[in-house]
Amino acid sequence: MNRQTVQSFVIFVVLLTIAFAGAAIGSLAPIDFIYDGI
Amino acid sequence: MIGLDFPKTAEKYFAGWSWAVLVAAIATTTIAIASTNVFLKEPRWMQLSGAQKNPEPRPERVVLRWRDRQDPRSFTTPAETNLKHDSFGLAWISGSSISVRAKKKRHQFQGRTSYEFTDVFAAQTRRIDGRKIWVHEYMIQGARTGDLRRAAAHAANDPLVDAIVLSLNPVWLYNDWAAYTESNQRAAILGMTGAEWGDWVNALKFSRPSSIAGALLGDASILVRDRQAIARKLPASKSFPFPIFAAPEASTAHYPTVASFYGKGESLAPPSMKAHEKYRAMLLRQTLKEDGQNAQFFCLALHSLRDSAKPVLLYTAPLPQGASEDAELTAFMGKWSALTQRLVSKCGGPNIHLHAETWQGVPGERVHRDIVHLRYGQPVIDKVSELLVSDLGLNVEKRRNVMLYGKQSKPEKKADD
Repeated sequence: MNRQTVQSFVIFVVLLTIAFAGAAIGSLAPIDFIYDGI
Repeated sequence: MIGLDFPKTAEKYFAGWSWAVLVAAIATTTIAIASTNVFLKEPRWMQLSGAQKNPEPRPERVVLRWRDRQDPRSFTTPAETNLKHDSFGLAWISGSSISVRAKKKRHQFQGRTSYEFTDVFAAQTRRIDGRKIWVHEYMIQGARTGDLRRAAAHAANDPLVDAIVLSLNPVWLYNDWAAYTESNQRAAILGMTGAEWGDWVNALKFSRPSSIAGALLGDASILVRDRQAIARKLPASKSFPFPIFAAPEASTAHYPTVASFYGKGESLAPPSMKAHEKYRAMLLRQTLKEDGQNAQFFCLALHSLRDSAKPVLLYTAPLPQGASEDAELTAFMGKWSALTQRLVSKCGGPNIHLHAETWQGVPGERVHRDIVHLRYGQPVIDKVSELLVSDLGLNVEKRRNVMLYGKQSKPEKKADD
């Protein structure tokens, strides 16, 4: 691997990790539970 | 341009990539995420995030095992309770029918207008089978049968729990208009011990793919499991609103009106149940079939309870006093009880003791707030306590001279409490 490939490899891994974390957190549905009395 | 010419940038960095490098990069990322548990220790704040306000043992010897409905982890782990297994653990699983809202001073529990059956039971009980007790409260507001199934699986496999009480809601147990309450916890069952193929089918029916993925990866990755706790710590701003915590505007069409279920006049209740007409109509809309959706959830719950071999008591939250004078309702609840008995026989085991008939009430004063919620319900707690002895064979030792009710009542403090 040359320097350019190593650099791009690291960039890819970091971006993919951020995307994964973002998807995990972003997938949480905001819930404002309204008690319906039943 | 500020230099973010994506095609040019991508080409600069990735033009020379072979498929092997791409696969290696994806594998590296996967390993990095999956191995976070090796070098990341879950801090206490992550454990307690989403747990109820006082997740650690309360003076009344009640430990709240349920989490905030936004937190996908659903329930607390034994380690998070800080309890040792030297006490008798009684799990009480229920929707809000165990939540009491007293109106009169004489119905207040030790000065509190809001309390749960679990608080009272723990205050009036000293020991079970010779051991001090902890009541593990699995209370899920708005619980539907899919939620009870998840709680049953958790309590059945929790090493701190020695016996289980499960409250059946006569309005919702078989009501296929609702399978779960609103939460991020629907798929959590897939990451729990005791999940069956039926749970997979239900998860695919009712859960988002991201919830399913989260439940499956949760054990491998603290980052995934505790994502709600982490999200709460992230600084969100107006210019970059992420993560999104604000719920969308509530839809007025969220629940269909009761009248829309019926033809004109069909939902009318007799005078004895007039005050509970809407809830009565909802109750009568249950699907009393063994293959109904919620009957299947209940069956799965019974499997977990059976397999645990722990003594289990099922009782029905009582309906208001006027219910027994309502012929249509009485006939319906007769079929409801028969179905429950059939399902317990089919899906349960000898360790499960059913008292479906308590829908008719228990002897003693009971003040209803609505069809299942109470302003006072000590006789229900006494009935459960009595059944723990007569049906489950437990030795329940009560505290003596404990004043439970009235504004000034406080528990008697003793050294061995």
